[in-house]
Amino acid sequence: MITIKNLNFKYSGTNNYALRNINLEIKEGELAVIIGSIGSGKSTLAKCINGLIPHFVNGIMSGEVEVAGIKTADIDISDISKIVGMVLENPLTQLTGYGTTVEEEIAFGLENLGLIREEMKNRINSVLKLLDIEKIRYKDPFDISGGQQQRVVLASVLAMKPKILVLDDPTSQLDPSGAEEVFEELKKLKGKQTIILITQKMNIIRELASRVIVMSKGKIVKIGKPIEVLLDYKLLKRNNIEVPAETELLYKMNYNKKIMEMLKV
Amino acid sequence: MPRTILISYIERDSLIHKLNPLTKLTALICVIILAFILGPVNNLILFALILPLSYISKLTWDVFKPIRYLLIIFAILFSIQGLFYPFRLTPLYTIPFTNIIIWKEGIIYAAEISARLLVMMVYGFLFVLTTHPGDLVNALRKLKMPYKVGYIVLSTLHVIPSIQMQVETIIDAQKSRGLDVSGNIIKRLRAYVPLLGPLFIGSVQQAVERTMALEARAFSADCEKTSFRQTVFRKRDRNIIIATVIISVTVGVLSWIY
Repeated sequence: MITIKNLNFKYSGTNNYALRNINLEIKEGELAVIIGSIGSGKSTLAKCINGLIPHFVNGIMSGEVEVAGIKTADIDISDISKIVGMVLENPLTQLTGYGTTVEEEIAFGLENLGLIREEMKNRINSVLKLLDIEKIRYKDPFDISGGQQQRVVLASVLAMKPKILVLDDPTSQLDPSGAEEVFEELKKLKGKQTIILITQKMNIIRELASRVIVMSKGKIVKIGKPIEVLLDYKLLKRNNIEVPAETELLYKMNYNKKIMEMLKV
Repeated sequence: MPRTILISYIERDSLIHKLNPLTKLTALICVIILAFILGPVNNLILFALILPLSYISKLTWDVFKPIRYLLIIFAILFSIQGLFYPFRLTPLYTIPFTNIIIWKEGIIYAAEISARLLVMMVYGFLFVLTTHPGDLVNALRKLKMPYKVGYIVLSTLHVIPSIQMQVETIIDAQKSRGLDVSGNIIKRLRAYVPLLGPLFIGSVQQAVERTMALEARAFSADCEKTSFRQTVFRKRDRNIIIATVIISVTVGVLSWIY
């Protein structure tokens, strides 16, 4: 679904490469989680996948990014948006403000695709049902809680039926219950949709991810199963990633190697 | 989340709400032109006509709420024009024990402007409160207004409350670090200067993020855009437009002659 070959990227006006020699393959239906410390290049990688790089952000890019068999550099960003849906951190800046109800907010992207009204209605009905937000259908999107707002953003992206969904730290601006709401939705989508999730919340990785990609200083340092990454105390520590309390405990008790071996058997 | 204090559409099931936005816009333009042609007394009659309209629109007193913002302008207008009107001839009143004279011409002039403002304000608000912003933009788009201009107009209404919220957060943050916002007006204004830096940077950052979010929703797609909300142009819209224009022209011409 996504193929990245020898990707390098440098923002204009900076000296260091934000991404260095990235090679990555993501299959259809996968839920890949990218983790890494601040400045590790995870958001930059997300921008490469949804075409904001090189179409929107200035910088020097080399290498290839292919989504659904199409090179992102070759097509317009508005065409990429039909393939890759994007959810960013702050729900407030993602609400377009075009409509006064949730329903109209979701319709915004569909209007841009030039869909007929009936089709819009069908799609809105189905995403509202899928994300279980029919209750707030006629509410003002600026008048609902942060968690609900982020779900509305998710709904409006899903309504465009993208093949790939990229979520760039969608819960960092939300309170714990809001974050929980968003992750619940992602659980529903798992397996139905190719998803790339960037997050700082280590506790949801094990449940959610099918693969974990660890980034540091613009490079991919490890790709592995959630349990492999989560138990690797040294890897997390070395790359300045928050170590879950359980991992730390197991490491201090010298148990994590044993568990890894047990899991391999 | 604070909504825009001044501008917000109020959903009601009324005849005026159902009219095509272009019909209402035409009527509003007619009223504004009339407000400039008519004198203060006639303007007050025009102002009184808002009563039945606001009743029909089921908004009742909401239309009049913004008038309180005008009161301070009226006070300034009357005092400055009353005292310093350049073509002053007849003294109206001398304030006892001083040489300060209030001039009749100045007061009349201030009354003229105030009446105009009053009319434009209430009718403008009737328009804004009864017209869904999305419908207005859709209607204007049918008149070949560029899509991007439409978006700018609409989103601005939503960005204002978000900036208000940002300002509050920054003020609170700075107050908690000892910013003193009490004292006379100059002191207070000066205290608000450090607010501008973070506000400006924050707004630019948000604008960049918003553009990305828009692009992710095919904002710049080349295809023919459709709209979810439907506005219809009925026969009655046409009739009302014709009637308003004819009445306005007649009234305008008549008041010009007499």
